[in-house]
Amino acid sequence: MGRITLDKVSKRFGDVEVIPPLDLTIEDGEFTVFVGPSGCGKSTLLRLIAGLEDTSGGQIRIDKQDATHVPPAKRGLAMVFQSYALYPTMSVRENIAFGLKIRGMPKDEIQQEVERVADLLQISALLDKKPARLSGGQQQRVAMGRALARRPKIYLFDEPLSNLDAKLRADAREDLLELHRRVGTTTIYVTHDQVEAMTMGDLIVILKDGEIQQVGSPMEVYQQPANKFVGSFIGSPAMNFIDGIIKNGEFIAPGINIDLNAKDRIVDGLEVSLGIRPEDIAINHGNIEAIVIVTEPLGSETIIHVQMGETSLVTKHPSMTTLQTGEKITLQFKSDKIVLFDKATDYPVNI
Amino acid sequence: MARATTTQRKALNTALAWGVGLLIFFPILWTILTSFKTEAQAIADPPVFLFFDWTLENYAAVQERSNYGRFLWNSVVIAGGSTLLGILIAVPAAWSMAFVPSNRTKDILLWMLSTKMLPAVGVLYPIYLIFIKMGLLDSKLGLVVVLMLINLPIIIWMLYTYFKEIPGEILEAARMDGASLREEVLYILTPMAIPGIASTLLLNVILAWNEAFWTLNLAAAKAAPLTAFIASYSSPEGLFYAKLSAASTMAIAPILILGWFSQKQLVSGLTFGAVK
Repeated sequence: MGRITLDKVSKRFGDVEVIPPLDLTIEDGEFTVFVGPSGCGKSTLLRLIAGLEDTSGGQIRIDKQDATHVPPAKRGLAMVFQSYALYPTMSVRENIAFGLKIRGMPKDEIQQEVERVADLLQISALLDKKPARLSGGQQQRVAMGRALARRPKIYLFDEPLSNLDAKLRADAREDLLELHRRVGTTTIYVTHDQVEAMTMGDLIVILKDGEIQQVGSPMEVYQQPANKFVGSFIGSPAMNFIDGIIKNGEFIAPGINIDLNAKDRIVDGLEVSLGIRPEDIAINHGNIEAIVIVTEPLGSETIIHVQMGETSLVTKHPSMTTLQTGEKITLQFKSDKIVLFDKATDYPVNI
Repeated sequence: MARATTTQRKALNTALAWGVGLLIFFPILWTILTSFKTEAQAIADPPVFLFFDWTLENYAAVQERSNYGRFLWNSVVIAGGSTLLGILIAVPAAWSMAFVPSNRTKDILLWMLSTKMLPAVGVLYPIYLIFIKMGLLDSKLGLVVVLMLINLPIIIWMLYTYFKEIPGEILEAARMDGASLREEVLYILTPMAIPGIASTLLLNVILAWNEAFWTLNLAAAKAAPLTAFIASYSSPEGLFYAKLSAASTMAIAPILILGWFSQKQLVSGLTFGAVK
């Protein structure tokens, strides 16, 4: 089992409150991703769960047991660090065996366990090398091996792939997911990369300024962002936002007039931000006039930057286009994909 | 942009470096040379440099008059003992300052160093009295403790700078692996800091070996190390430069040899972290 419950957990460094009291439950076997811009408190939150930092308030429960003041090693967790943090004076074998040796496991069992892990991660050939002689990808595997060998209830990953190059990162991502499918252990994965979050997480926790902005599956956070921040953070290119006002169930902004068919459901005169994803803007349909500013052909798709009155928008077209800079086009927003946020509260408005 | 280094420039630099090196080494060289002269040649004016009658009579005389072995042993015990004791205290101290710093850590470091700015003679009287009260006068234990305390700030400073270079995540990884504080320091930190600890040890042995103020003032006979052995040759009965030089040469020989063999270690240790 590996169920984690955070109950009003908070953290302050001196006078600075980095994490205001927050609640979160991570179910057994779930692959949870903490994502957010740097400084959002995601790593601090992970370190609180790991026990490397003391909480300033609240309770951390692991499988119903209060773990708030339990030392890291006794929580049944294993962590993979961003820098890998391998012990440089020890061979790969000793690195993997260290935690087992500390716990007093008999020598022959350690031997077996190290070999099992090395097999699983295909690092058997490296066992007698020192970390300094390994490549980044190999070091990353050894760091994983060290975590695996302890057979923990929960894995914690602190941006484990951010030091790898793009190709290796994609491979490592797949391996990690494959591994999770096989062992099925609860995993918390911290990243600042929203692509990583979307592709890996069963559950995504989006953080900003130490506060949870939204918790949900990748599809939920993508399609129903809880606020403007989530909308702009998740997805690339980011969601477009247009400020306007509601009148007779229509969204009105300079040069734009979109009927939301919500005449009696939205208060007249409400100031809102309309959010629409780049791929949900159709080109050369509808009646919104715009001018092409720049096109970025990416092969399978084209990113088109357009100017619409005083607002600039980014659209994504699922093929190559022959559009030229300065060309006049029309746009249509897919009405079922439009999201509205109340400007005053930043909460989504039901359409 | 890389600076253009011409052969000429290199030659000049090399000559300059040798010049400075020789200038620093010259007093030691002169002492060694003098130790092989007769007393008359030692004070000859103009001085003779290499062309004199080389003799070992000073060494024989020194050997005859005093027990070199006993002084040497005292020096080894005092320098080695104070260094080991210092390291034992400094490793945990530097660990806490490097890895769990408080708001005042920098102040404490500076304060520790400031004790080195006080003229030693300023605290001679109180320490002398304490030594009398505790019966530590002319004892090796007393000197070990005093020299350890004198050099402790430097040991802690050096270890602190080495420890600062060690990524905290590695120690955290050990903590996650279940290592206790003792195991963390013993199995992870110390092996990683071996080069730094080794050069700290070396430097401290040299400092303690050459320390004269406290050893001369707090020891007379029983615990007297090689510094006292040298001092006994600058006697009021008259100057015996050649014998004094022979005694000095014998006193510095062990540490000179140790320094020679470990110079690579010493240099890499002292410039650790300086060049990035």
